[in-house]
Amino acid sequence: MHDSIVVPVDAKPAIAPALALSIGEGTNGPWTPEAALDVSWAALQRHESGEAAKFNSVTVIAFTVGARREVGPGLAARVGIGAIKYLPADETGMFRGGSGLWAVGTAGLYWSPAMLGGPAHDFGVSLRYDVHRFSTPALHADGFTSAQLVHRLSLAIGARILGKGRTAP
Amino acid sequence: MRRALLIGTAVVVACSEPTIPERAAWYGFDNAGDVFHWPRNRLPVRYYADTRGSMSDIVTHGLGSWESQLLYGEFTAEMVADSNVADVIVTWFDSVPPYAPPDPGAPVFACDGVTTFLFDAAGTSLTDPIRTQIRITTAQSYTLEQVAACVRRVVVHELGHTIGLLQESPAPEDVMYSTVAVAAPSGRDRQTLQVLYHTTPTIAPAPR
Repeated sequence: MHDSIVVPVDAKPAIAPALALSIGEGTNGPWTPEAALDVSWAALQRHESGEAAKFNSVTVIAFTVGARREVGPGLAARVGIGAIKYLPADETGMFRGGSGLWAVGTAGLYWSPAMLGGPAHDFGVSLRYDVHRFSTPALHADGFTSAQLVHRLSLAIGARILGKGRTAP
Repeated sequence: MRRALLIGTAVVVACSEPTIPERAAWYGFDNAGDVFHWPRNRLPVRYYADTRGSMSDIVTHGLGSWESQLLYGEFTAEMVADSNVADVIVTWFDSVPPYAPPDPGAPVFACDGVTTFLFDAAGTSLTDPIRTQIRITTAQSYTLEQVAACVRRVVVHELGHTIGLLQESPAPEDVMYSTVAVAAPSGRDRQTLQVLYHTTPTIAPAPR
């Protein structure tokens, strides 16, 4: 969130831990339908005049449905759409009045190299991207009449914890 | 059926910025050029409220109304039970009105308030906690409900001074107008506070 009040002010989440759980059902075709739940926890920081200060923290929950398919040896790609919700620790400031539910689109790659056991064991590395719009009633009341486009990128390690398959999402 | 657990880090990057509001409607907040607001390292600011009557509840409500005007946590406050550790002390001047629900009718001026800043010799730092006193007017007779409504308005006004709005607003629609007739900060009060908290202060708070 970029703002300018006398000086430029940026409010953004810090790099944060994330947890994703996905479930898919194998089919005879190349595409595997699946659903995913992503949760991240981030401190919100205000950046101003070269200094950063935490002013809130937020849990972000995204639920998406999509499809996955193998695109190479040990490599799977996934696309999906769903909804994302911001849950602030304190409903103050830009979150006074809460926040809405926003549509989200996501895409990602999952690489399960042979040195990690390969697809048979489904240990691997995930690169995920999603994009959504964001605003709050407080921001709207303050004059931000249009929503912000937010891009998120996550790098994760992953493993299959139940079931069998060729690759994890 | 397959399930996978992913653990890692997320990077969030914002772009495609919306239009930034202008925030052009604000009034003066300085005292002859000197600016005061609470610095980040003094948050949350500690407020002590007179334990008599409903002052504590009224101050808590008033602080919340100011905190909510800022988007990025520039000002936060907490109530403390010990006036010796307070940054701001709010008390009754003399008489303590019994509790009554605030009158929703037209405002009457059944009370007033005063906020006092004590400066060092150089005039660049406060030497003592900021003190606010609320006085019930006895020149005329008012209902308890009218007094309660007046106290709520005046406490919000005086708390505005304690967070750095050192001037009175020129507009009666603002809670920082000298004869306060509204119960909550207006849009102009909000913009003024926002501009204040992104302006470099010249007055330091009293040391703790």
